[in-house]
Amino acid sequence: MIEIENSINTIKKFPLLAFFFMTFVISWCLFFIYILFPNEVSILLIFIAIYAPAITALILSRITGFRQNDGKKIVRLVIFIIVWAIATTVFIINYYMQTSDLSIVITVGAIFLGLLPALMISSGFSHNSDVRMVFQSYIKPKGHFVWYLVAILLMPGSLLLGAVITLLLGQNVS
Amino acid sequence: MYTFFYGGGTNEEPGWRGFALPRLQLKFSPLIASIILGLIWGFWHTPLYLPQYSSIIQYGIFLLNTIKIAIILTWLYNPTGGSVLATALLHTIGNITFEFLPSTLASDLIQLVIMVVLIITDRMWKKKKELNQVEH
Repeated sequence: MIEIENSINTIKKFPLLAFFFMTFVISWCLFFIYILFPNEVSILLIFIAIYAPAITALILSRITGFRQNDGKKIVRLVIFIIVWAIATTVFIINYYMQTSDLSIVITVGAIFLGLLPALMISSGFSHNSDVRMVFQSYIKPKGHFVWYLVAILLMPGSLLLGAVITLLLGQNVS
Repeated sequence: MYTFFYGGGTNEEPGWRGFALPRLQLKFSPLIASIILGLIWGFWHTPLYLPQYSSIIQYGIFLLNTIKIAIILTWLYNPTGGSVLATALLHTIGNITFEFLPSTLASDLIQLVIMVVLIITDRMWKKKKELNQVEH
């Protein structure tokens, strides 16, 4: 118990270092398992590995934040179920479009992997203040809508303009 | 939607921008915080893209590119009062666009100019007094 308390105190003292350390440990361990043993099961680990930044943020925010009771449990549950269903369906459709081959492992894996985005997005209604602060903008967008237009158009705009300039200079865009 | 759920939108942004960036900005200016975060963010991707790098120069360019995107994402994060959704949209749409439009020297230069303009107009080298900061 004392060791757990010490660990929590260390995390509270150095949250950034704890975040980077945990993110890299979770992700890289799973990445290298896939690199060393590439198969249908280990490919699912990649999708857990890429969630390490969000999972770590969720865990550490929970540790460093304090409990409040203004999180809306029913809304959170409804959002969780909707996002879970969508994320699972999207994963299955995407995999099927790429390989036209759905195994039981991938189907069951998709159901499991759908939990991760559902957990992240529904955390906007967490009862924990820090967790809610990190995830709330998924459900309640912050700031003026113009910033969201900028977010949507900036990358396609710059790439499109770059492609047009390249073509006008008589070079190939490939 | 696939990329939003599994390629940056919900899996990376809550961590890099939602958790790490506000804490880095407590200690550093937005510019320095973005450079630190961009470097760590790029390095984190290393095992994923390892087979694609044919030289150390290519890897270095990738790291510089993540720093550039990190600066743009920080610029977007701050005026929205810390919107992870806004950065998630930019991240996701950026990834999707790369599937359809190739990155050219011209587009890299355009993004570089955008980044420099944002740094100058937003005075990103100065530490912000009021941010969506965490108090710990």
